[in-house]
Amino acid sequence: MVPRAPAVGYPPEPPGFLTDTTLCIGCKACEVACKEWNGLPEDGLGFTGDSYDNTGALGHSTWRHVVFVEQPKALGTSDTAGVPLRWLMMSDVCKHCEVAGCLEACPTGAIVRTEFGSVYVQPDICNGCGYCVVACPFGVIDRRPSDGRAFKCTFCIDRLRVALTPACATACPTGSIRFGDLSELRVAASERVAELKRRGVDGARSWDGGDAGSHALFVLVDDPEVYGLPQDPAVPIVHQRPAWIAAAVTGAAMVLATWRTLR
Amino acid sequence: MKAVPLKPPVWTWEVPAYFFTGGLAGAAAVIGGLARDGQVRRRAHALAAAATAASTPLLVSDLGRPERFHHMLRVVKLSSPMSAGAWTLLAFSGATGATLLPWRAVASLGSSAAVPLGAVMSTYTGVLIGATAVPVWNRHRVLLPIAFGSSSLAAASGVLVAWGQRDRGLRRLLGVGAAAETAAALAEKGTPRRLRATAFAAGAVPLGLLALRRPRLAGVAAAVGSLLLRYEWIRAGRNPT
Repeated sequence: MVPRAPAVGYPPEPPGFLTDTTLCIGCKACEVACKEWNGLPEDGLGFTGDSYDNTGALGHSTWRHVVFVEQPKALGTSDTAGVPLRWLMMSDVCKHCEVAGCLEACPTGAIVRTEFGSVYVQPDICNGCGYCVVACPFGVIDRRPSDGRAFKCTFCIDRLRVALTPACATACPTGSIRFGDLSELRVAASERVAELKRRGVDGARSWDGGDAGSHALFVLVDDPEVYGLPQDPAVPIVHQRPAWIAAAVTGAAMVLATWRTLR
Repeated sequence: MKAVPLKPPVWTWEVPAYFFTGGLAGAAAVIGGLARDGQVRRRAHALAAAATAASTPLLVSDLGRPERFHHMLRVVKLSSPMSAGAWTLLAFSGATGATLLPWRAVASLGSSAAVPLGAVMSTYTGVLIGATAVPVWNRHRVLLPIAFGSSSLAAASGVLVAWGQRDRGLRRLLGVGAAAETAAALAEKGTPRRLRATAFAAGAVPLGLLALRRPRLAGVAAAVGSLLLRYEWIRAGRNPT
Protein backbone atom coordinates (compact mmCIF):
# COMPACT_ATOMS: atom_id res chain seq x y z
CA MET A 1 0.00 0.00 0.00
CA VAL A 2 2.95 2.31 -0.67
CA PRO A 3 1.60 5.36 -2.49
CA ARG A 4 3.40 6.67 -5.52
CA ALA A 5 3.87 10.32 -6.41
CA PRO A 6 1.16 11.46 -8.83
CA ALA A 7 2.29 11.35 -12.44
CA VAL A 8 0.82 14.68 -13.44
CA GLY A 9 1.80 17.96 -11.87
CA TYR A 10 4.55 16.58 -9.65
CA PRO A 11 7.77 18.48 -10.30
CA PRO A 12 10.37 16.29 -11.98
CA GLU A 13 13.07 17.65 -9.71
CA PRO A 14 11.45 18.73 -6.46
CA PRO A 15 13.23 21.31 -4.35
CA GLY A 16 14.40 20.57 -0.84
CA PHE A 17 16.72 21.49 2.00
CA LEU A 18 20.29 20.42 2.56
CA THR A 19 21.26 21.15 6.15
CA ASP A 20 25.02 20.77 6.60
CA THR A 21 25.36 20.50 10.36
CA THR A 22 29.13 21.02 10.15
CA LEU A 23 28.50 24.63 9.12
CA CYS A 24 25.87 25.35 11.77
CA ILE A 25 26.95 27.80 14.45
CA GLY A 26 23.80 27.44 16.55
CA CYS A 27 22.75 31.05 16.09
CA LYS A 28 19.06 30.12 15.66
CA ALA A 29 18.51 32.75 12.96
CA CYS A 30 16.54 30.02 11.21
CA GLU A 31 14.20 29.62 14.17
CA VAL A 32 13.64 33.36 14.44
CA ALA A 33 13.19 33.94 10.71
CA CYS A 34 10.67 31.11 10.52
CA LYS A 35 8.65 32.39 13.45
CA GLU A 36 8.70 35.95 12.12
CA TRP A 37 7.82 35.17 8.53
CA ASN A 38 5.00 32.80 9.45
CA GLY A 39 3.71 34.86 12.35
CA LEU A 40 3.86 31.91 14.69
CA PRO A 41 2.66 32.36 18.26
CA GLU A 42 5.07 32.23 21.19
CA ASP A 43 5.28 28.71 22.54
CA GLY A 44 7.56 28.77 25.57
CA LEU A 45 10.11 31.21 26.96
CA GLY A 46 11.62 29.06 29.67
CA PHE A 47 14.99 27.33 30.10
CA THR A 48 15.12 23.62 29.36
CA GLY A 49 18.54 22.98 30.87
CA ASP A 50 19.49 21.20 27.64
CA SER A 51 22.61 23.05 26.48
CA TYR A 52 21.57 26.07 24.40
CA ASP A 53 18.38 24.39 23.19
CA ASN A 54 15.55 26.18 24.95
CA THR A 55 13.12 25.48 22.14
CA GLY A 56 12.86 21.80 22.91
CA ALA A 57 11.36 20.28 19.80
CA LEU A 58 9.53 20.94 16.59
CA GLY A 59 5.84 21.52 17.10
CA HIS A 60 2.71 23.38 16.14
CA SER A 61 4.40 26.78 16.59
CA THR A 62 8.05 25.85 16.07
CA TRP A 63 8.90 24.80 12.56
CA ARG A 64 12.70 25.05 12.80
CA HIS A 65 14.42 23.69 15.89
CA VAL A 66 18.16 23.80 16.52
CA VAL A 67 19.39 20.70 18.33
CA PHE A 68 22.51 20.99 20.52
CA VAL A 69 24.52 17.90 21.39
CA GLU A 70 27.60 18.07 23.61
CA GLN A 71 29.72 14.99 23.12
CA PRO A 72 32.96 13.84 24.81
CA LYS A 73 34.42 13.00 21.41
CA ALA A 74 36.96 14.73 19.20
CA LEU A 75 35.75 16.38 16.02
CA GLY A 76 38.19 15.37 13.31
CA THR A 77 41.69 16.44 14.20
CA SER A 78 40.79 19.28 16.53
CA ASP A 79 40.09 18.98 20.19
CA THR A 80 40.13 21.38 23.12
CA ALA A 81 43.46 21.30 24.93
CA GLY A 82 43.69 17.53 24.87
CA VAL A 83 40.17 17.04 26.25
CA PRO A 84 37.93 15.56 23.57
CA LEU A 85 34.80 17.64 23.29
CA ARG A 86 32.63 18.54 20.39
CA TRP A 87 29.44 20.45 20.08
CA LEU A 88 27.05 19.26 17.40
CA MET A 89 24.35 21.61 16.19
CA MET A 90 21.59 20.72 13.76
CA SER A 91 18.61 22.71 12.55
CA ASP A 92 15.74 20.22 12.46
CA VAL A 93 12.77 20.73 10.19
CA CYS A 94 9.79 18.96 8.66
CA LYS A 95 11.08 16.44 6.16
CA HIS A 96 8.21 16.87 3.65
CA CYS A 97 8.46 13.15 3.11
CA GLU A 98 8.05 11.47 -0.24
CA VAL A 99 5.92 8.96 1.67
CA ALA A 100 4.40 11.19 4.33
CA GLY A 101 2.72 9.64 7.35
CA CYS A 102 0.72 12.78 8.09
CA LEU A 103 -0.57 13.01 4.53
CA GLU A 104 -1.60 9.37 4.44
CA ALA A 105 -3.36 9.66 7.78
CA CYS A 106 -5.36 12.82 7.16
CA PRO A 107 -9.05 11.89 6.80
CA THR A 108 -10.29 15.28 5.59
CA GLY A 109 -7.87 15.71 2.71
CA ALA A 110 -6.47 18.81 4.43
CA ILE A 111 -2.88 17.60 4.03
CA VAL A 112 -1.88 17.62 0.39
CA ARG A 113 1.17 17.43 -1.89
CA THR A 114 1.89 20.81 -3.48
CA GLU A 115 3.33 21.71 -6.87
CA PHE A 116 6.74 21.91 -5.12
CA GLY A 117 6.53 18.33 -3.90
CA SER A 118 6.09 19.59 -0.36
CA VAL A 119 3.52 18.47 2.20
CA TYR A 120 1.09 21.23 3.11
CA VAL A 121 -1.72 21.45 5.68
CA GLN A 122 -4.62 23.47 4.33
CA PRO A 123 -5.73 25.48 7.37
CA ASP A 124 -9.26 26.04 6.06
CA ILE A 125 -9.92 22.31 5.92
CA CYS A 126 -8.18 20.80 8.93
CA ASN A 127 -10.70 19.95 11.64
CA GLY A 128 -8.14 19.03 14.27
CA CYS A 129 -8.75 15.28 14.50
CA GLY A 130 -5.14 14.78 15.58
CA TYR A 131 -4.46 11.64 13.56
CA CYS A 132 -1.55 13.23 11.69
CA VAL A 133 0.16 13.95 15.00
CA VAL A 134 0.63 10.27 15.80
CA ALA A 135 1.28 9.27 12.20
CA CYS A 136 4.55 11.23 11.85
CA PRO A 137 7.61 9.09 12.61
CA PHE A 138 9.70 12.23 13.24
CA GLY A 139 7.50 14.03 15.74
CA VAL A 140 7.02 17.10 13.55
CA ILE A 141 3.34 17.97 13.28
CA ASP A 142 1.14 18.85 16.24
CA ARG A 143 -2.24 20.32 17.07
CA ARG A 144 -2.21 23.88 18.41
CA PRO A 145 -4.34 23.93 21.58
CA SER A 146 -5.28 27.60 21.27
CA ASP A 147 -6.47 27.06 17.71
CA GLY A 148 -7.61 23.44 17.36
CA ARG A 149 -5.93 22.77 14.00
CA ALA A 150 -2.68 21.00 13.15
CA PHE A 151 0.29 23.03 11.93
CA LYS A 152 3.77 22.43 10.54
CA CYS A 153 6.39 23.82 8.19
CA THR A 154 4.88 24.94 4.87
CA PHE A 155 8.20 25.10 2.99
CA CYS A 156 7.32 28.83 2.99
CA ILE A 157 5.02 28.06 0.11
CA ASP A 158 3.98 31.71 -0.07
CA ARG A 159 7.63 32.62 -0.67
CA LEU A 160 8.19 29.79 -3.16
CA ARG A 161 5.24 30.97 -5.21
CA VAL A 162 6.97 34.33 -5.78
CA ALA A 163 10.35 32.71 -6.47
CA LEU A 164 11.88 33.40 -3.07
CA THR A 165 13.59 30.77 -0.92
CA PRO A 166 12.24 29.77 2.50
CA ALA A 167 12.88 32.19 5.34
CA CYS A 168 15.22 29.86 7.23
CA ALA A 169 17.52 29.27 4.25
CA THR A 170 17.51 32.97 3.48
CA ALA A 171 18.45 33.92 7.04
CA CYS A 172 21.13 31.29 7.65
CA PRO A 173 24.42 33.24 7.88
CA THR A 174 26.79 30.33 7.20
CA GLY A 175 24.97 28.63 4.34
CA SER A 176 24.35 25.61 6.56
CA ILE A 177 20.76 25.57 5.30
CA ARG A 178 20.65 25.39 1.54
CA PHE A 179 17.48 25.23 -0.52
CA GLY A 180 17.38 24.06 -4.09
CA ASP A 181 17.01 21.22 -6.54
CA LEU A 182 17.13 17.99 -4.50
CA SER A 183 19.17 16.05 -7.02
CA GLU A 184 21.83 18.78 -6.98
CA LEU A 185 21.74 18.88 -3.18
CA ARG A 186 22.24 15.11 -3.04
CA VAL A 187 25.42 15.49 -5.09
CA ALA A 188 26.54 18.37 -2.89
CA ALA A 189 25.90 16.29 0.22
CA SER A 190 28.00 13.35 -0.94
CA GLU A 191 30.80 15.69 -2.04
CA ARG A 192 30.75 17.36 1.37
CA VAL A 193 30.81 13.99 3.17
CA ALA A 194 33.83 12.95 1.09
CA GLU A 195 35.57 16.25 1.92
CA LEU A 196 34.86 15.82 5.64
CA LYS A 197 36.26 12.31 5.63
CA ARG A 198 39.40 13.58 3.90
CA ARG A 199 39.75 16.03 6.78
CA GLY A 200 39.56 13.27 9.36
CA VAL A 201 35.88 13.42 10.31
CA ASP A 202 35.42 9.67 10.06
CA GLY A 203 31.77 9.61 11.16
CA ALA A 204 30.60 11.99 8.43
CA ARG A 205 27.52 10.79 6.59
CA SER A 206 24.39 12.06 4.91
CA TRP A 207 20.85 11.25 6.01
CA ASP A 208 17.93 11.21 3.62
CA GLY A 209 15.07 9.72 5.54
CA GLY A 210 15.17 6.11 4.33
CA ASP A 211 11.78 4.72 3.38
CA ALA A 212 10.07 8.00 4.13
CA GLY A 213 12.08 9.76 1.44
CA SER A 214 12.92 13.05 3.10
CA HIS A 215 13.01 16.31 1.13
CA ALA A 216 15.29 17.65 3.84
CA LEU A 217 18.75 16.15 3.61
CA PHE A 218 21.28 16.38 6.42
CA VAL A 219 25.06 16.08 6.59
CA LEU A 220 25.89 14.61 9.99
CA VAL A 221 29.08 13.59 11.78
CA ASP A 222 27.60 10.82 13.90
CA ASP A 223 24.73 8.34 14.08
CA PRO A 224 21.36 9.92 13.36
CA GLU A 225 20.15 8.85 16.79
CA VAL A 226 22.72 11.18 18.34
CA TYR A 227 20.75 14.06 16.82
CA GLY A 228 17.31 12.62 17.57
CA LEU A 229 16.71 11.36 14.04
CA PRO A 230 15.60 7.77 13.47
CA GLN A 231 18.28 5.66 11.81
CA ASP A 232 15.92 3.75 9.54
CA PRO A 233 12.60 5.54 9.55
CA ALA A 234 9.51 3.58 8.67
CA VAL A 235 6.18 5.18 7.89
CA PRO A 236 3.85 3.01 10.00
CA ILE A 237 0.64 3.89 8.25
CA VAL A 238 1.69 2.31 4.95
CA HIS A 239 2.13 -1.08 6.62
CA GLN A 240 -1.51 -1.67 7.49
CA ARG A 241 -2.22 -4.89 5.69
CA PRO A 242 -1.39 -7.37 8.49
CA ALA A 243 -3.60 -5.39 10.87
CA TRP A 244 -6.54 -5.34 8.44
CA ILE A 245 -6.12 -9.07 7.89
CA ALA A 246 -6.27 -9.57 11.64
CA ALA A 247 -9.38 -7.39 11.75
CA ALA A 248 -11.03 -9.38 8.96
CA VAL A 249 -10.23 -12.70 10.62
CA THR A 250 -11.58 -11.39 13.93
CA GLY A 251 -14.72 -10.13 12.24
CA ALA A 252 -15.26 -13.47 10.56
CA ALA A 253 -14.72 -15.25 13.87
CA MET A 254 -17.28 -12.96 15.52
CA VAL A 255 -19.83 -13.78 12.84
CA LEU A 256 -19.09 -17.48 13.07
CA ALA A 257 -19.31 -17.56 16.86
CA THR A 258 -22.59 -15.64 16.80
CA TRP A 259 -24.00 -17.92 14.12
CA ARG A 260 -23.03 -21.06 16.04
CA THR A 261 -24.42 -19.92 19.38
CA LEU A 262 -27.54 -17.97 18.45
CA ARG A 263 -29.03 -19.80 15.49
CA MET B 1 21.68 9.56 22.08
CA LYS B 2 18.61 11.70 21.82
CA ALA B 3 15.30 9.84 21.65
CA VAL B 4 13.25 10.60 18.55
CA PRO B 5 10.87 13.26 19.87
CA LEU B 6 7.63 11.55 18.82
CA LYS B 7 4.54 13.55 19.64
CA PRO B 8 2.07 11.94 22.08
CA PRO B 9 -1.56 11.64 20.97
CA VAL B 10 -3.67 14.72 21.60
CA TRP B 11 -6.79 12.65 22.25
CA THR B 12 -8.69 12.81 25.52
CA TRP B 13 -11.37 10.61 27.14
CA GLU B 14 -13.84 10.95 24.24
CA VAL B 15 -11.73 8.78 21.97
CA PRO B 16 -11.53 5.65 24.15
CA ALA B 17 -15.18 6.22 25.01
CA TYR B 18 -16.00 6.13 21.29
CA PHE B 19 -13.85 3.04 20.78
CA PHE B 20 -16.08 1.40 23.39
CA THR B 21 -19.48 2.61 22.14
CA GLY B 22 -18.64 2.03 18.48
CA GLY B 23 -17.30 -1.42 19.16
CA LEU B 24 -20.30 -2.29 21.33
CA ALA B 25 -22.67 -1.09 18.61
CA GLY B 26 -20.84 -3.11 15.97
CA ALA B 27 -20.92 -6.36 17.90
CA ALA B 28 -24.54 -5.78 18.91
CA ALA B 29 -25.41 -5.37 15.24
CA VAL B 30 -23.67 -8.65 14.41
CA ILE B 31 -25.81 -10.34 17.06
CA GLY B 32 -28.96 -8.58 15.92
CA GLY B 33 -28.43 -9.54 12.31
CA LEU B 34 -27.76 -13.21 12.96
CA ALA B 35 -29.75 -14.26 16.03
CA ARG B 36 -32.77 -16.49 15.55
CA ASP B 37 -34.69 -15.33 18.60
CA GLY B 38 -36.88 -12.32 17.86
CA GLN B 39 -36.45 -10.68 21.22
CA VAL B 40 -32.66 -11.03 21.07
CA ARG B 41 -32.72 -9.44 17.63
CA ARG B 42 -34.88 -6.54 18.74
CA ARG B 43 -32.86 -5.84 21.86
CA ALA B 44 -29.55 -6.19 20.03
CA HIS B 45 -30.67 -3.70 17.40
CA ALA B 46 -31.88 -1.29 20.08
CA LEU B 47 -28.50 -1.59 21.82
CA ALA B 48 -26.67 -1.02 18.55
CA ALA B 49 -28.76 2.05 17.79
CA ALA B 50 -28.28 3.52 21.25
CA ALA B 51 -24.52 2.95 21.21
CA THR B 52 -24.28 4.43 17.71
CA ALA B 53 -26.22 7.51 18.80
CA ALA B 54 -23.73 8.02 21.60
CA SER B 55 -20.76 7.60 19.25
CA THR B 56 -20.98 10.56 16.89
CA PRO B 57 -21.22 13.28 19.58
CA LEU B 58 -18.12 11.80 21.24
CA LEU B 59 -16.12 11.97 18.02
CA VAL B 60 -17.34 15.46 17.15
CA SER B 61 -16.49 16.88 20.57
CA ASP B 62 -12.94 15.48 20.44
CA LEU B 63 -12.11 17.44 17.27
CA GLY B 64 -9.99 20.58 17.57
CA ARG B 65 -12.55 22.29 15.33
CA PRO B 66 -15.82 20.43 16.08
CA GLU B 67 -17.85 22.70 13.81
CA ARG B 68 -15.86 21.23 10.90
CA PHE B 69 -16.78 17.60 11.69
CA HIS B 70 -18.41 17.23 8.27
CA HIS B 71 -14.97 17.70 6.67
CA MET B 72 -14.51 14.01 7.45
CA LEU B 73 -16.79 13.41 4.49
CA ARG B 74 -14.88 15.57 2.01
CA VAL B 75 -12.84 12.63 0.75
CA VAL B 76 -13.05 8.86 0.66
CA LYS B 77 -9.54 7.77 1.53
CA LEU B 78 -9.62 4.12 2.50
CA SER B 79 -5.83 4.09 2.93
CA SER B 80 -6.41 6.17 6.06
CA PRO B 81 -7.98 4.07 8.82
CA MET B 82 -9.67 7.18 10.12
CA SER B 83 -11.31 7.98 6.80
CA ALA B 84 -12.33 4.35 6.37
CA GLY B 85 -13.77 4.47 9.88
CA ALA B 86 -15.68 7.71 9.34
CA TRP B 87 -17.40 6.31 6.25
CA THR B 88 -18.01 2.98 7.97
CA LEU B 89 -19.64 4.81 10.87
CA LEU B 90 -21.86 6.71 8.46
CA ALA B 91 -22.95 3.58 6.61
CA PHE B 92 -23.33 1.65 9.85
CA SER B 93 -25.46 4.42 11.38
CA GLY B 94 -27.71 4.27 8.37
CA ALA B 95 -28.02 0.50 8.51
CA THR B 96 -28.66 0.47 12.26
CA GLY B 97 -31.20 3.24 11.98
CA ALA B 98 -32.96 1.31 9.25
CA THR B 99 -33.48 -1.65 11.61
CA LEU B 100 -35.75 0.55 13.73
CA LEU B 101 -38.06 1.50 10.87
CA PRO B 102 -41.53 -0.08 10.54
CA TRP B 103 -41.04 -1.24 6.94
CA ARG B 104 -39.87 -4.83 7.13
CA ALA B 105 -37.94 -4.90 3.87
CA VAL B 106 -35.94 -1.81 4.82
CA ALA B 107 -35.36 -3.05 8.35
CA SER B 108 -34.24 -6.43 7.05
CA LEU B 109 -31.82 -4.87 4.58
CA GLY B 110 -30.39 -2.67 7.32
CA SER B 111 -30.06 -5.65 9.61
CA SER B 112 -28.08 -7.64 7.05
CA ALA B 113 -25.85 -4.74 6.04
CA ALA B 114 -25.11 -3.99 9.68
CA VAL B 115 -23.43 -7.38 10.17
CA PRO B 116 -20.29 -6.85 8.06
CA LEU B 117 -20.30 -3.13 8.88
CA GLY B 118 -20.60 -3.97 12.55
CA ALA B 119 -17.67 -6.36 12.33
CA VAL B 120 -15.60 -3.49 10.91
CA MET B 121 -16.89 -1.09 13.59
CA SER B 122 -15.65 -3.31 16.41
CA THR B 123 -12.18 -3.96 14.98
CA TYR B 124 -11.07 -0.99 12.85
CA THR B 125 -10.21 1.22 15.82
CA GLY B 126 -7.52 -1.29 16.70
CA VAL B 127 -6.10 -0.98 13.19
CA LEU B 128 -6.32 2.81 13.52
CA ILE B 129 -4.09 3.20 16.55
CA GLY B 130 -1.77 0.40 15.45
CA ALA B 131 -1.03 2.24 12.19
CA THR B 132 0.72 5.08 14.01
CA ALA B 133 4.25 5.85 15.12
CA VAL B 134 3.34 5.44 18.80
CA PRO B 135 5.64 2.55 19.73
CA VAL B 136 3.38 0.61 22.13
CA TRP B 137 0.49 0.77 19.67
CA ASN B 138 2.56 0.00 16.59
CA ARG B 139 4.22 -2.99 18.25
CA HIS B 140 0.77 -4.53 18.77
CA ARG B 141 -0.84 -3.55 15.48
CA VAL B 142 -1.93 -7.13 14.73
CA LEU B 143 -3.08 -7.85 18.28
CA LEU B 144 -5.13 -4.67 18.70
CA PRO B 145 -7.99 -5.43 16.28
CA ILE B 146 -8.22 -8.94 17.77
CA ALA B 147 -8.34 -7.56 21.33
CA PHE B 148 -10.89 -4.87 20.50
CA GLY B 149 -13.12 -7.19 18.46
CA SER B 150 -13.32 -9.89 21.10
CA SER B 151 -13.84 -7.28 23.79
CA SER B 152 -16.76 -5.79 21.86
CA LEU B 153 -18.31 -9.21 21.37
CA ALA B 154 -18.07 -9.91 25.09
CA ALA B 155 -19.47 -6.48 25.92
CA ALA B 156 -22.44 -6.68 23.55
CA SER B 157 -23.46 -10.19 24.55
CA GLY B 158 -22.77 -9.21 28.16
CA VAL B 159 -25.11 -6.24 28.06
CA LEU B 160 -27.85 -8.41 26.53
CA VAL B 161 -27.35 -11.08 29.20
CA ALA B 162 -27.42 -8.47 31.95
CA TRP B 163 -30.55 -7.02 30.37
CA GLY B 164 -32.29 -10.27 31.25
CA GLN B 165 -31.83 -12.47 28.22
CA ARG B 166 -31.87 -16.03 29.47
CA ASP B 167 -30.74 -17.33 26.12
CA ARG B 168 -28.10 -20.00 26.76
CA GLY B 169 -26.49 -19.17 23.45
CA LEU B 170 -25.88 -15.58 24.52
CA ARG B 171 -24.07 -16.71 27.66
CA ARG B 172 -21.95 -19.01 25.55
CA LEU B 173 -21.18 -16.13 23.20
CA LEU B 174 -20.20 -14.00 26.20
CA GLY B 175 -17.87 -16.80 27.27
CA VAL B 176 -16.32 -17.02 23.81
CA GLY B 177 -15.72 -13.28 23.66
CA ALA B 178 -14.29 -13.14 27.16
CA ALA B 179 -12.05 -16.15 26.50
CA ALA B 180 -10.71 -14.60 23.29
CA GLU B 181 -10.14 -11.34 25.13
CA THR B 182 -8.19 -13.14 27.85
CA ALA B 183 -6.08 -14.97 25.27
CA ALA B 184 -5.30 -11.68 23.52
CA ALA B 185 -4.24 -10.17 26.84
CA LEU B 186 -1.88 -13.07 27.49
CA ALA B 187 -0.32 -12.54 24.06
CA GLU B 188 0.50 -8.93 24.92
CA LYS B 189 4.18 -8.32 25.56
CA GLY B 190 6.04 -5.22 26.60
CA THR B 191 3.04 -3.15 27.58
CA PRO B 192 2.65 -1.18 30.83
CA ARG B 193 1.63 -3.40 33.70
CA ARG B 194 -1.60 -1.47 34.26
CA LEU B 195 -2.69 -2.13 30.72
CA ARG B 196 -1.80 -5.82 30.82
CA ALA B 197 -3.66 -6.26 34.11
CA THR B 198 -6.75 -4.46 32.80
CA ALA B 199 -6.73 -6.44 29.56
CA PHE B 200 -6.47 -9.71 31.45
CA ALA B 201 -9.14 -8.82 34.00
CA ALA B 202 -11.52 -7.59 31.29
CA GLY B 203 -11.69 -11.14 29.97
CA ALA B 204 -10.93 -13.25 33.04
CA VAL B 205 -13.42 -11.63 35.44
CA PRO B 206 -16.48 -12.28 33.25
CA LEU B 207 -15.23 -15.83 32.66
CA GLY B 208 -14.90 -16.37 36.38
CA LEU B 209 -18.34 -14.94 37.07
CA LEU B 210 -19.83 -17.18 34.40
CA ALA B 211 -18.21 -20.17 36.06
CA LEU B 212 -19.67 -19.04 39.38
CA ARG B 213 -23.13 -19.03 37.73
CA ARG B 214 -23.51 -15.24 37.95
CA PRO B 215 -24.17 -14.52 34.26
CA ARG B 216 -25.72 -11.08 34.68
CA LEU B 217 -22.78 -9.86 36.76
CA ALA B 218 -20.48 -11.38 34.17
CA GLY B 219 -22.26 -9.34 31.51
CA VAL B 220 -21.82 -6.11 33.43
CA ALA B 221 -18.17 -6.94 34.07
CA ALA B 222 -17.60 -7.57 30.37
CA ALA B 223 -19.03 -4.19 29.43
CA VAL B 224 -17.08 -2.30 32.09
CA GLY B 225 -13.91 -4.19 31.16
CA SER B 226 -14.39 -3.31 27.51
CA LEU B 227 -14.51 0.40 28.32
CA LEU B 228 -11.51 0.24 30.66
CA LEU B 229 -9.52 -1.72 28.07
CA ARG B 230 -9.86 1.11 25.53
CA TYR B 231 -9.02 3.73 28.12
CA GLU B 232 -5.87 1.90 29.20
CA TRP B 233 -4.65 1.45 25.62
CA ILE B 234 -4.99 5.17 24.92
CA ARG B 235 -3.34 5.96 28.23
CA ALA B 236 -0.42 3.71 27.36
CA GLY B 237 0.05 5.61 24.10
CA ARG B 238 -0.05 8.99 25.81
CA ASN B 239 2.74 7.95 28.19
CA PRO B 240 5.29 6.73 25.69
CA THR B 241 7.36 3.63 26.41
